[in-house]
Amino acid sequence: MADPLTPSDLAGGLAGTDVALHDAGNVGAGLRRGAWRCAIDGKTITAIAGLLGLAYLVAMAVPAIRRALPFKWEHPLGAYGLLLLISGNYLGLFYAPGELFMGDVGRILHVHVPAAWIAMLSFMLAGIFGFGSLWTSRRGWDSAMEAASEVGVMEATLLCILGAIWGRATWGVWWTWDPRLTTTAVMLISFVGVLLLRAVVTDPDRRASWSGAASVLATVNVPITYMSVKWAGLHQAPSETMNNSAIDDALRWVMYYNTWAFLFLMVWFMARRWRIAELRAEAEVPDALPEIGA
Amino acid sequence: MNVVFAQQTGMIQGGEGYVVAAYVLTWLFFVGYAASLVTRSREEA
Repeated sequence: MADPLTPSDLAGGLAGTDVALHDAGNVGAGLRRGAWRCAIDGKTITAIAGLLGLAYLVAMAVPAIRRALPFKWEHPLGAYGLLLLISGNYLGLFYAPGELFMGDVGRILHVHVPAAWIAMLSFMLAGIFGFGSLWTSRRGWDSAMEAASEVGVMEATLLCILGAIWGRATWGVWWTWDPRLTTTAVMLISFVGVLLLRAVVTDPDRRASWSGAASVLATVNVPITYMSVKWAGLHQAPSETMNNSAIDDALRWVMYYNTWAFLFLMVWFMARRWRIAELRAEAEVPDALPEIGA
Repeated sequence: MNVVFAQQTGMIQGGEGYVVAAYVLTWLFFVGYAASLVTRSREEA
């Protein structure tokens, strides 16, 4: 049985630049303390993991839009996202060191932060698709807006629950009316409203235009939610910005690794949900009138 | 689930139950939503 690895072993292994992937002739004992070293660091692994998925997305984009693919393009990406989620959760639970002040509780951030980013991205996409639906009146945009809204609601619900768990462990409360929490709740409820609106309006054209406008309005709150951590409140100030990071590299790359997993799974969820919306929309279209003289 | 808030060490001690709950819930959400998508796809097809 191999000795358990400590965070310092792992951080050292990941930071190491001088050793090969594993000792030749010692492959079976690869997990023994000190034997395993990684030739590339965690940041590079995360970058490669993300670029692989993004490259697949770019390669599939045009043929998928033209519907020229003989297979469901989202399935390989979903499987890849699942693989990243399994390995990323393992990294977050067992591999990354505990946070300086939060200890093991900080491991929640490896799923909480990706859920927050992906929820906001989903809602931003819902707003863009809603605008596209209003602009073009094409059904594909409307279906995409419905898909993005539903996936965003799922992610934001998860985000709020994970945030409550993290808040209880660190702040001592499940919920408080902090600006970030409040704006997040408003964001979630707004898009639940968009989905409810779609559920009650039966006319397809009205449903598309009303829910398109509602999704654009609801999206206005997304940047407000993003900025809300800068206002006074219990929630910490932003740790990650475009120019700076307050997170140690040993934790940061694991969080980004999990973010890729959440992102690629989000694409799979949206693509599957979009197909369902398209099938429903096709079923709503009345049968064509018979030809004259037929 | 015991959490000792920064007692002497400056670091929160314990809280593993919260961590496990967070990861289990993440999987429950994703698996549950994926299952609902598969079910709805079959119904619509």
